[in-house]
Amino acid sequence: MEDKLEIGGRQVESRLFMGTGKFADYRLIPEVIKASKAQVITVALRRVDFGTPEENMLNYLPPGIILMPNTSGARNAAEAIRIARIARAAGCGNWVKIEVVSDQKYLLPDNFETVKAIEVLVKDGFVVLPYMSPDLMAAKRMAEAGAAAIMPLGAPIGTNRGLKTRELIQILISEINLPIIVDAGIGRPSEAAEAMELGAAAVLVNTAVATADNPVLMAEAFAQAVEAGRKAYLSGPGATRHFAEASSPLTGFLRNERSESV
Amino acid sequence: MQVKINGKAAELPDNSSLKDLLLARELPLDVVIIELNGEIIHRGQWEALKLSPDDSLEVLRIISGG
Amino acid sequence: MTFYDEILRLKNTDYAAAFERVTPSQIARILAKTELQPQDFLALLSPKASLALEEMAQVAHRLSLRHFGRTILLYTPLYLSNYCVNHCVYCGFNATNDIQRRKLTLAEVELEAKAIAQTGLQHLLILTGESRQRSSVSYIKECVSVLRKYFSSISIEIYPLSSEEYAELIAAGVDGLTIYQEVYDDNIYGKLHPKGPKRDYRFRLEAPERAGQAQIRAINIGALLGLGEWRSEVFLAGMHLAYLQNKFPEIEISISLPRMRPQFGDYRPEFPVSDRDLVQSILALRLFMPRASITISTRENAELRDNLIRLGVTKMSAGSSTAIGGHTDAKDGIGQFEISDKRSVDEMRKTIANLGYKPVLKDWHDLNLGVKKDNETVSIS
Repeated sequence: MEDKLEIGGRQVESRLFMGTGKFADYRLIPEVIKASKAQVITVALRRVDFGTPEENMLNYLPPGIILMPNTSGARNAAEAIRIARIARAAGCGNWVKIEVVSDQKYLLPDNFETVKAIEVLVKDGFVVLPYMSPDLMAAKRMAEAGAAAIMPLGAPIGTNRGLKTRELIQILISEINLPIIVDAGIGRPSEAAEAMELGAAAVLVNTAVATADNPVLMAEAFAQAVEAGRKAYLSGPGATRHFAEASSPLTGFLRNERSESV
Repeated sequence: MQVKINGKAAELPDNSSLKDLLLARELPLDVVIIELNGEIIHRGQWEALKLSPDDSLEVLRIISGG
Repeated sequence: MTFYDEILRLKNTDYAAAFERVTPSQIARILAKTELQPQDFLALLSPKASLALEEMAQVAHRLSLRHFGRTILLYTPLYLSNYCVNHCVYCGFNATNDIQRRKLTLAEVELEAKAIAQTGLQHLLILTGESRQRSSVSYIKECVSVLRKYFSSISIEIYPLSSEEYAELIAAGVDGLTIYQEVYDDNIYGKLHPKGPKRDYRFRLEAPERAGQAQIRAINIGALLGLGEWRSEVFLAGMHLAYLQNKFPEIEISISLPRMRPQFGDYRPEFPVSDRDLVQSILALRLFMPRASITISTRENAELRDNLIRLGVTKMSAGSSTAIGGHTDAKDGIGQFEISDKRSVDEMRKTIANLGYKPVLKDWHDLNLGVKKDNETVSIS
C-alpha cells in the first residue's frame, strides 16, 4: 500500500525519525540507522573543542538520508536562526528542527520564541519542523508561520516517560492540517505505536534507543512498532465501548413513528 | 595580534589568514564551519581572508544530536 | 478563503456513494471516538446510522451533559417589522403575499419589551423582513437602544449586512447574529428565491463571517429543513458551523434545525422531514460539534420539544409570537409561520425544571457596554 509521508515537498517512507545523540560510540550510529530504517536523522551544531580531537560524525551517516540539524543550545529566536543558517552553510541541507529552550530545569521548549524563528527561517527558504509544547494556539501560529510539520513533545525531553501529553497531541492531530510528529519523551516501542495509532504522522526517537542495552535491537523494535501503529491507524480499529450499563432509552418516543428512510 | 576564538582570547601572528589559523590549530578543514564577527565565512574564502585584531571567531562543527 | 470556497469543494460530495459504504461497525467505531471528522459526521447522517439512533442518543446525551450541564437557555423572538422585498416561496412575509404590513414604532417596541421582560426572559431575538427602506439599520439601532434597557442579550435575525453595518449594530448593543442559509443546495436556493436581494446566495452565506470579523459575540446558523434533502443540508450546515468555529474560536456558535411549518400561502415542503429524521440530525450534530449550542424553536410541538431536551438541545424559544406586536396585541396578526408549542414562558420554565433541567434566563451580560438597567448596578464578582 502506498502510504508515504510528505514534508517540505519530499516523500519519506519511514515514519521513524532518529536522533543521533547520546550514543556511547559513533560506530553504533550506522547500525542503528540501518536497523531503524530511518531516513530523517537529526544532528546538532557545537563549538569545536580544541583540546580533544573528535571524529567527523557525518562520516558515520549513510548516503541518501535527510539530515535535520536541530538548533539545540538556542535560548531565543535569534540564536535558533543563527544556528539554522550555520548548519545550512555546513552542507546539512535546508531542513531544520527548531528547538528553543529557555528553561534549564525542565528543558521545555519556548513556543513564543519558536514562532518568531519559524517566521524568519521559512522566508529564508528552510523546511522548518518546530519542536514544541503541545498547545493548540501555538501550533496554529506555527502553521500560519509556515512550519512544514509540528513536533509536540510526548513528555519532557530525555525522560522516557511516554505519551504524557496524549490528550493535547490528539487535539493537534484533529485540528492542525500538518503532519504531527511526536518528538521527545517516547521511551518504549509500545508508546511509539500508541502515538501512531492516534494518528501521529511520525515519531522522533533518540534517548530510548541510545540508552538501551542493545541500541540496534531497540532501533529495530521501534521501527516495527511505528509500522504496526501506522497500520492500525489506517485500518480503523474496532470500537471499544465506554459504557456497559443498561441506559434508559432516550429515543423511545420515536417508536410509534415508522422509519421511512431505511 | 589578539583575536577571540570561541569566546576565548588567542594570540596570533599579525597578518594571519583564516586558513593559517585553522592549520595551526590542526583542525579538520572539511568539518568545521566558521563564523567571523557573526557572519558565516564560506570555505572558498578562508585562504584569502586576513584576520584583524579583535576579530571574533566561532569555530563550529556538526556533532550528534537529537 | 470563505465558506463559499468550501461549499464549492463540498458540492462534489457523492452522498449516495458515501452512504452506501457505511457499515454498522463503522458507526460503532465513530461512537467510541473522541473527535469526529467530517466523514464521520456524514456517516452518522446516513440511512444506516438511523438503525443506531438509540446508541447515538446515549452518546449525545452524555456529551451534552458534559459540556452544558442540565441547562436550557430560553429566549423569545420579537418581530419588529414584516415589510419585505423578497419573494421567498415558502415564507409568510413574501412580498407578493397580501397581508397587513406593519412596523413597530419605538413606543410600541418599548411596550413589547416590557411585556416580554415581565416573563423574566433576558435573551431577545429581534426580527424584521428584508426592507432596507422600511427597517433600515438605523431603525434597528434605535430599537436596540430601547431594548437594551430591558434585556441582557440582543440578537438580530434580519437581512444580511456588511461587516461595517454589523459593527455599527454591535456598538449599539447587539451581541448575537442569527441567520439561516435556508437551503445550502444552491440550485434549490435559486428556485426558492426568485426575486429580491436574497437571490444572492453567496452574500447570505458569508454573512456570519462578516459578523465574525466585526467581532460579534455569538452566531446562530441553520438550514430550513424541508427545502432540500435533509441529509446533505444538515451535513453542509454542520460543516458551516465547524468552519465558523475554526475561523472564529472565540465566538459562541449555535445551530438551528427549523422544520418547515404551514404558513400563510400554500407552500408545502418538497422534502418532508420526520421526527426520526430530525432526531438523527440533532444527534449527528451533537456528536460532531460537542460544544456548539443547538436551538429548537416553538415551530415544534411541546411533546417533541420536551423529548429533545435530553438529546442535546441547549437553547429554546418560549412564549413566542411571530406576528408584529404579538406580545401585547391580543388580536392575531398574520405570523411568519405557525407556532406549534404555545406554552407560556412560565409553563416552559416549570416543564424544564420537572425534567430535571435548569431553565436559564440569562447567561450573558456585557460589562464593557456599561449598560445599566433600572435599579441595577453592574459589578464583577
